Amino acid sequence: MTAAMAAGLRRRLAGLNIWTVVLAVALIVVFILLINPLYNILVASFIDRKDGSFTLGNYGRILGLGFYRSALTNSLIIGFGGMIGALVLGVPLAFLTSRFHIRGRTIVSTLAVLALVSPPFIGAYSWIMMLGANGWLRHLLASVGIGLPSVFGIFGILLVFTLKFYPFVFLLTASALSSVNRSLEDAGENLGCGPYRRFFKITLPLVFPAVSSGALLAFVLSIADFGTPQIIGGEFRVLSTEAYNLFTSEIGGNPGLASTVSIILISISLVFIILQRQAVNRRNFAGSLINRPEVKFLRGGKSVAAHAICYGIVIASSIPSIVVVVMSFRKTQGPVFHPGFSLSSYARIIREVPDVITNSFLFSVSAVILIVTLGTLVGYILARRQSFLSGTLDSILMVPYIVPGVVLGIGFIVAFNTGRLAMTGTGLIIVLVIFIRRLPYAVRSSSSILKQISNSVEEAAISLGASPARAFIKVTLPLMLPGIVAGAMMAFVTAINELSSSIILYVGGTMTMPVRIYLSVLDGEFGTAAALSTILLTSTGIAVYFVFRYSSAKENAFV
Amino acid sequence: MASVELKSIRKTYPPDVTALDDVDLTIETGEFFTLLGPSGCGKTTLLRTIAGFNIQDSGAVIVGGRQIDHVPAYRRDTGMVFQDYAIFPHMSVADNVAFGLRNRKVPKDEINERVEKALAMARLEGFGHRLPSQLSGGQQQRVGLARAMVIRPQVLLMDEPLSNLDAKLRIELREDIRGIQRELGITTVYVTHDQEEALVISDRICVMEGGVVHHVGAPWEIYRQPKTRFVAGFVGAMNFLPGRLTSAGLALGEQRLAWSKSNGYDGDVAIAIRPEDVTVQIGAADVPGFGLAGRVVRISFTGRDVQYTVECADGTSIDAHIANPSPELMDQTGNEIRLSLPVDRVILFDKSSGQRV
Ligand SMILES: Nc1ncnc2c1ncn2[C@@H]1O[C@H](COP(=O)(O)OP(=O)(O)O)[C@@H](O)[C@H]1O
Ligand SMILES: [Mg+2]
Repeated sequence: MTAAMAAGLRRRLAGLNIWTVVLAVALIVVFILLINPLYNILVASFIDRKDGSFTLGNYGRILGLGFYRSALTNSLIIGFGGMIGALVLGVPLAFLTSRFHIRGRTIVSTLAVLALVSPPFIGAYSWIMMLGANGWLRHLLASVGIGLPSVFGIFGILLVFTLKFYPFVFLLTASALSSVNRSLEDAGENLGCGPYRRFFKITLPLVFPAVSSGALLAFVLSIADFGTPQIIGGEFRVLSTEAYNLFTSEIGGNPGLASTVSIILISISLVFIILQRQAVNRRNFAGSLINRPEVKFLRGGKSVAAHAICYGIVIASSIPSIVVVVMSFRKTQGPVFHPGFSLSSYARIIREVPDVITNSFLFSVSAVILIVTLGTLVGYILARRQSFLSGTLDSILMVPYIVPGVVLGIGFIVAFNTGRLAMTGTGLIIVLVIFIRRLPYAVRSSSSILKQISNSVEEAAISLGASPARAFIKVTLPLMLPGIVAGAMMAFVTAINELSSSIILYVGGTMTMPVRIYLSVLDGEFGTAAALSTILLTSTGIAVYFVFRYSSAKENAFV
Repeated sequence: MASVELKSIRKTYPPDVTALDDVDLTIETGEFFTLLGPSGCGKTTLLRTIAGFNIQDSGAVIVGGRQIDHVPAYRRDTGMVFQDYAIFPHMSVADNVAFGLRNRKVPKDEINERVEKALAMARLEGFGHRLPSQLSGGQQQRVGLARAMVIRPQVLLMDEPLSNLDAKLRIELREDIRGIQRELGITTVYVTHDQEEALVISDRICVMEGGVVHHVGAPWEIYRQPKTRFVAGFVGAMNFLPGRLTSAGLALGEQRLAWSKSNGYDGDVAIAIRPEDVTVQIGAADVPGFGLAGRVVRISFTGRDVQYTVECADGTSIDAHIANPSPELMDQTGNEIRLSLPVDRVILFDKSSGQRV
């Protein structure tokens, strides 16, 4: 070896450190837990069920059969429907709260956040209790002459989605609206735009990227959601429920067709993400943090109307949770509610399904520990040690955003049913699926915190003799801690409310609260479902409190 | 404390930025050495190569006679002061200063003693318990300075430490930096793009451009005897006029003067002269040098001197700074005036290479 080569090698070894190891581990993990299951699904979607040969027949059947084609159409309908509903509530709410003085603005955004984090299946089942054939709200409305269509079917689905997903549009749009450079609007007015024209010609185009990101989220989450259409959809079938039914149907299940449906679902999300990116491309305008728009005071009737709209929206979206909590304290006998209040539902769940509660906490906490550990380290790499490989990892981590839980659940079964990594039926598989689904959120939040901490702080530590690992632990980590706590709490919220993948992966001994709630609702056991839901909502609420406490972004941390 | 030697350092960034192009420098023990140049010329890259935050493509870094290319940044024993202070916001001032000593496993009593002393030197007595957020920018940078020097590093590195401060603080802190550096005798490499700061503070200055070293020398030498046209133009104000040097002498337009040091040079040159060396008269003057006539387009009074911008008939514009002009010279805007360029104040650069002739 020549001296020059030796010197070169030494230099390269000097660059090799703990972060190289972390990057390697992260790449292996995403390869096994993400690429591998999805690749298995992709392959399965091209395999003939009978002879195992390559075929395009599965796609032909799905797109050809009227039954599945209508599921595809229905998915698109609820996707657009959920998106439009979210826009109709979210944009006005954002405009009113960011441009006019609304009393209790914090209460408004807190209620919106609570609506956002409470699981949609609880909303679905709560609306059934209110608007089902015997629901009190239906009777109440009927008594004043308002007849509603059956809550089962598209009406119920869109009701739930609208009230569940508008907070995305609201939070993103509100933060964009309050950072629009005020001079732009003043200039518009100065050049002769009236208030309405100014809003549509200047303000709205400026916040278009934020509005469209919120709309996209509503769309993707609507077509991916499994619990809502399954619980409240009635005969209205969509792709996510079909994938589940095909996979779990009594007569052996059909992984080929289920995989095909999964791939179609992913493709739809992907297409919409690309379209949105293109639409936003070159339209991202830097906001102004100094010259913020004026927040105006409204008077008289206008003020009353604005408050009525804002509070009307957020209260409507909180009703399902309130109803569930109230119902959990109602007296029950078996599945039937009786007048009066008692703790009988809680007594029942503690007697009958204590393991479901412990499972939920055990799995969620384990998943959160994994998510936070790897998420923080990977976030660090993406923010501070950019390289070709870290860029690759960054792109791969976009994938979970567009893969519905049901789909990843199916992928996990296909990939980990047999062989050396066999783990179906264990609690570990449920932990791991939650982990990989939520890892990207933690990575993104940790790298965005780091981008606000100057790189030189860490270099200062190194120049003072701290090794890279010590510099990270002594300096960077403490500075990241509030953000990490907030991120952990958000991961916990999503982990404990996870239904769509666990519904595929659970077995008797690894059942979680969301799965139990879903099954109870199907069995008409509304009392136990309400008690379990209340436990979920309470844990969620506590976690949200900590996010508000520790995250500087407050409500915007949730989108 | 040690000397620093840089041998043929090269550093490129993908795709094709050459940040350092064969840089050779020797910095003496205890010297205050400044890297000066426009933004993007490679100063930070060079400083960070010494610190070990980036690794050169080729060449050697030798500190105190020991080659340290393979030594990771945290073992290089270089104190660093950052442009954005980089004070650890979650530690008190005293903990910030003690950080490097703790990494070196210095005994507790000694840490306390050294921290006290360092804070006193940086004029931060009594600030030990404060958090950085309770300090002004200037005070934070004093913490940065105390933190870097308390470890008695072999080299102290500073990357534009004053550029985020306002003008008055900048001058105050630069005096203190220089004072502390002298007292401790720490070899210091200082980066700035501010030429006045460089002239005031340095033992020697290295002027760089585009990753290349143009001139290394004492401040007066950089100012009075710049080696290249770039240095002449970058450090201080300078007039450049097209001329021609032959064995017959130095020609500016129609005028020709004897030039003793031509050494057989024959070609186009840039004639350079500092504005403060140009003299201004209303009538003709009798100075051994080039005489030019022009119209005064602007007179600016700076307090320290009066600055004339004069446009000659052929369109060239010349600046003249007169320290103490006679009253009748003060209201000449728009008038014809005469300029003299004393020949002993003129320096010449090759027109194409920019090298001193
Ligand atoms: N990490 C980097 N990647 C790519 N180019 C860089 C990087 N750091 C510096 N450069 C380039 O190298 C050149 C020198 O930069 P720098 O040393 O920061 O200059 P200075 O400190 O003198 O302003 C510039 O052209 C800059 O754009
Ligand atoms: Mg720089």
